[in-house]
Amino acid sequence: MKALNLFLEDIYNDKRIVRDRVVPEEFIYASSGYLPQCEGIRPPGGVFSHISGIDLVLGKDGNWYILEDNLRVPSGASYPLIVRDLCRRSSPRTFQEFHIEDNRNYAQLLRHTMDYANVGGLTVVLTPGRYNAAYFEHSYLAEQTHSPLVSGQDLVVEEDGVFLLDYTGKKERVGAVYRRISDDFLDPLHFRPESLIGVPGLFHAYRKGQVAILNAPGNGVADDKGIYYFVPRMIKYYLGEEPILSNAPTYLPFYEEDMKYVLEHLDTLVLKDVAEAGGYGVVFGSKMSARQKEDFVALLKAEPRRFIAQEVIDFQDLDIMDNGVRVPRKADLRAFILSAEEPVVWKSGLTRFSRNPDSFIVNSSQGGGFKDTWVLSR
Amino acid sequence: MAKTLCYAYELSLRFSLPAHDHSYLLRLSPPSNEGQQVLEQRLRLSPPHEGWEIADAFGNRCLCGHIFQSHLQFQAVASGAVRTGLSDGVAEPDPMRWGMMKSPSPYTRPGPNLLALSRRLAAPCDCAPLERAWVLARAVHDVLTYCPRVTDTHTTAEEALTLGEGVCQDYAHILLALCRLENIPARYTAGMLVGEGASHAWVEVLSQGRWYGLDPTNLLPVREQHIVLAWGRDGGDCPLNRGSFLGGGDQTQTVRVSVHPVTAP
Repeated sequence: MKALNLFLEDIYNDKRIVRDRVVPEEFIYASSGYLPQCEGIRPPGGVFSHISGIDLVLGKDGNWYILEDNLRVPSGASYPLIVRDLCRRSSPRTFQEFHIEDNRNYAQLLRHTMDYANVGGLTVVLTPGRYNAAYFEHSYLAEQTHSPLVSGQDLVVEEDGVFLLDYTGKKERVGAVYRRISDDFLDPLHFRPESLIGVPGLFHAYRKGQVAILNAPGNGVADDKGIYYFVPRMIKYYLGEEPILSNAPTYLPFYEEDMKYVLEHLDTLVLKDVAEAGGYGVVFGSKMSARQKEDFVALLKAEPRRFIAQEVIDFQDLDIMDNGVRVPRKADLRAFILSAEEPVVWKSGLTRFSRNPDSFIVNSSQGGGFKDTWVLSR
Repeated sequence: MAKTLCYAYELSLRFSLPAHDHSYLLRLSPPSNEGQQVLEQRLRLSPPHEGWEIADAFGNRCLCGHIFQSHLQFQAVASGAVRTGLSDGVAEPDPMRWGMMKSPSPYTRPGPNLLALSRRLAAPCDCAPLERAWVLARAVHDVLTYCPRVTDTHTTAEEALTLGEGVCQDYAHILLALCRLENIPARYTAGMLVGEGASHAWVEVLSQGRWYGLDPTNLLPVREQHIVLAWGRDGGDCPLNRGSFLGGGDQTQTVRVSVHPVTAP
């Protein structure tokens, strides 16, 4: 997390990592998550990614691998809280007999993270509204952190800052916005002009340092698929340390030797289009027909920067109950890291599994389920 | 040859029903730099109220504001005088900062037609980027026919090239795409040109440590005839005016620009 925050600060300011040729600049500026509007911004405390969701899988070899980093607006932290509450009620003895870390401190960690970023004034949770699929989480986290839950029209930007308007017309200064709206829709004056859920002018107030935005806009450049490859190098570059957790072995056809490897081992690799997200643009070499392979190789040679290739990780299955029957399913773990003075890992997390025996897709939008996650305290 | 130009940019937005909670952002304040110097400037806003100035990520001066009360018309008139043509190009102290000007941006991402045009124009060249950019600018001028109202502010370079018609913004976007395909750093420039009509747009390329302006619509080097207002990767980064409001019904926007040389008394 430290390295990713330093990377974001560097990319939008001095660009040392590009000048020192550790990361080729093509990968930065071609990333859809790079926002030129964020150039020159150093957010309060140097934190860009206040709330981060790191997706991990446990390989059959017993090693944990980082599947991807989510530094934009990672969701899901409310679910482990709810599911733990249910588990405690249905089986209180489990929590007496086993040393399981209490996870009820999330609101406190989040509140501390918000307060650390706050530049003076209220902290609000900005939601796109009750029709959003994650509205439950927005309202729950607002309630738990004692922060007003607001929509775009409740905030107004003036010369000296951002204000919350209440229904009597009273204005109160806002010092931090925990926004659950993506960068594109955040401010119609600076990003997508048709956005009706954003706050006009919020971005320039942020630019002037009048308000903190959690997470910072522009973070997408650091969790991009093409940048993932460089994360271990970032850790060495910024911190002089070796990474503790491994990435899935990744190849960048942009580099000649990696291209050679990819062409020779197409059958054992999974290929990802860096511009796509949400499970799109992902193909397994082993599932392509000869014709498809030929087309793909031609595309790969024409646009080598567009793809990454990864070894397929054989991850451990997790037992779940399916209609009363115990069956193995694919699962992953989203760990939440909150960054204030120092990054803190929340001793809980969101374990998601796929319902379908042949599927790797754990997203709740595609029928995936979730489980309580126990972090043992000894 | 340096010149003094006086300018007026009039923006008027009429609503069929009252609009309120109107936020806006205007990039109508010319910067002073090596190439141009602002001698005087005024801004009149209606309904009368106070806006405030900010700088965006590209260093453009922006005026923003918020009008709470209902209004049927919003007007902004920027006027002033600028000394232009003060230098040939503008020095860039840190070219590494502008890597983004070599990468495709939302409006300049090449499609099959741009790639084909770029391949057709490919020629071994050991000349300076500026010289090469002029070759590309002439090619853009040849493939596009100037035609208003065929394209709009959301037309991409690829779409305009496919249509074969467009306005200054489209000429600029196509030239940007071609330059970037050859790894020449190039930025979009919005501004005004001597005469009467609308605002104008052109391209600046970074060549041997200096930014030089090329106007592909008129095949003119950018010197004393042009006033720079703002720049970005493409038109989407630096619209001259943008707003957001509640209510308003139908809206009609008009922009009138006039730029004239001041003759010495």
